Amino acid sequence: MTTLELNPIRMMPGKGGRLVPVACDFKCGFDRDDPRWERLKLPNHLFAADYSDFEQEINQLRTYQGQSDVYVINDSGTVLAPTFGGGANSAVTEALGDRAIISSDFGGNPPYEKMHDVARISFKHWLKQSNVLFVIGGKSNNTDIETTFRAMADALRDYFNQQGPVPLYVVIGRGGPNLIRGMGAFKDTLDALGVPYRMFGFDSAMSEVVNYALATDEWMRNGGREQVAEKMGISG
Amino acid sequence: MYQQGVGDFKYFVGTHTLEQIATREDRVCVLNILGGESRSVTPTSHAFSGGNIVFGTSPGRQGQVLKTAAGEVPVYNNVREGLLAGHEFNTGVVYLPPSGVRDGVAELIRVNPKLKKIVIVTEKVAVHDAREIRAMAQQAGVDIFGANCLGVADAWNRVRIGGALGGDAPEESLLKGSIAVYSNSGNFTTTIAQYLATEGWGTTTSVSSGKDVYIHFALPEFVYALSNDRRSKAAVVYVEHGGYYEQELPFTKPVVACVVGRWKGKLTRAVGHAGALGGKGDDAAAKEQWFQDTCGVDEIFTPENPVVSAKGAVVTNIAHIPLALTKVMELNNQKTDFAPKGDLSLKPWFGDSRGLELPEELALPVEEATTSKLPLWLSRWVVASLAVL
Repeated sequence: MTTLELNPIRMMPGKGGRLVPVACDFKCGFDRDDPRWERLKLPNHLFAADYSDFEQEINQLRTYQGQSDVYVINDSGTVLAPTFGGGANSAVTEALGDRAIISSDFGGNPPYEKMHDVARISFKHWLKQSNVLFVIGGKSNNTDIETTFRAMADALRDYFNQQGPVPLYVVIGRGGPNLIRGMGAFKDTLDALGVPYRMFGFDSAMSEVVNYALATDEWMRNGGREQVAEKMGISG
Repeated sequence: MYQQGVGDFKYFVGTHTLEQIATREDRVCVLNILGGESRSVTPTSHAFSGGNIVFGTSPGRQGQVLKTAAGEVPVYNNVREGLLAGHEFNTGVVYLPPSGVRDGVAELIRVNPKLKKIVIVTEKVAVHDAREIRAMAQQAGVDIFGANCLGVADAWNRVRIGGALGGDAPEESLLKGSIAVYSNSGNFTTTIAQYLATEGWGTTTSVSSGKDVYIHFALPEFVYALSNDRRSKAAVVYVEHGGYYEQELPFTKPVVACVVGRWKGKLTRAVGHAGALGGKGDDAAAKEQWFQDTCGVDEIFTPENPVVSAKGAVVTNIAHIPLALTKVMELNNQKTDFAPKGDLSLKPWFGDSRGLELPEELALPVEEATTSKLPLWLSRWVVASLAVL
């Protein structure tokens, strides 16, 4: 356990007039990165209340090779923000506030297949309600941008092909290895899908890119979404 | 039980000054050197640092080499074989999977009495294992950086040890200057260095501390070494919610502290960084107050409200760090290290509005990509592909 709380503790009369402490409630947290406690074989329903369907599905992909940490911030939010890096996760989620649907960290140089699955699951749950798909991270130190961007772009194309197009504005802010190739792959897909977008490199402040995404969401909320739908030929 | 080190710490600390963290004299052994991440990162580290990696280990691959621009690095089955082959080192770098990190650290400590430092790059090391790692290192008198450390680097010495600080071109981010950087976020360690350059500030030593529950080389150790570092005139620290490492620190030089994670107070489990989980006493709001007390200010610095003192400033947005630092250093009669390089304004590299009538703030014109490593054929493709707004 990483945390343990016994509260309240009441004193009960014991043998010979002694008072015996009794824990009336017990709460503990386990280290998700330590497999040792799994030998306790605790029933899954003890943990199910902590995770939404989306979070449980993403957590199936959890390995050390690339994070897949997610937390649903606001299931009525309108900015879907796959984020890369723990620092970016903190800073971006704070800035987006309740506009954000999820808080996430998909960094750690995930391979194509994992990134594609993460994106596919995220889109399946949240893309329909999203105004802005906001791919954001700092200047990556080892996550391959081409691999991750190609995976997300392919997942987006697959979603449009299977579920139909969504009025969407894509904002990207990133830096790192194979950045231009990655942006190029995403650009090709967005051009083919007719989705409006802006992509920013590492020479734009992350906070300003976040503000741009927020402003885009605001515009989408105030009539922009209908304009995008018309341009993309989406009816209804 | 621990060995006596420097300072008056109640535990072992071996690093007296920041200048000792990443030196040209350090000799490095990399565990799991032929693993996926190390293969892409270690060659750059080795070349940038003038060839400081003496050998690596990878079970079953004795006799293979890791090719780098600074020569081939030999690979052995284990650390003892490398030492028996005549190699010597004082620094270990661990790229092992989480379940193997503790044993890797034990191996380094057990077979090399000359070991001084270990950098653990691996993320998601179990807390249980982190305790054992700390106990072994304390007993042996070894400084540990990490876990979840993206490396340590020194712009003066031109050395990078451990992870991928600065990516595949560390010389672009690690510009020689007077500011020491400490960051819970590996990515932001480099980002902060880049941001500082836009105000004309370079760096001395940069430390990616990691943000696991256990931070083995934490801010108290960094502050001590900063005070003894002749090159550093100030520090920038980036810290997140969770843990008491940043409480009541004896800074002797100006500091700009960026504290992030107020929203994490709403969470009941860690997201992103394993150690970014805390209660009311160690949440982001509490840390903001700690640093405000340290700096002698009563508000957060923003460009619109530039609250600073000669001791420092507190920000909650990393983009505000450079300006805050400049204001603080002005009060200390310190000039910048060099002319500003670049700026942080929005510069879209690619964009297409699809003919939409966007508001002016969204209809930003596309600028030419600034990467310096674009091959000619790709440059032409980029130019040909730029959308007309």
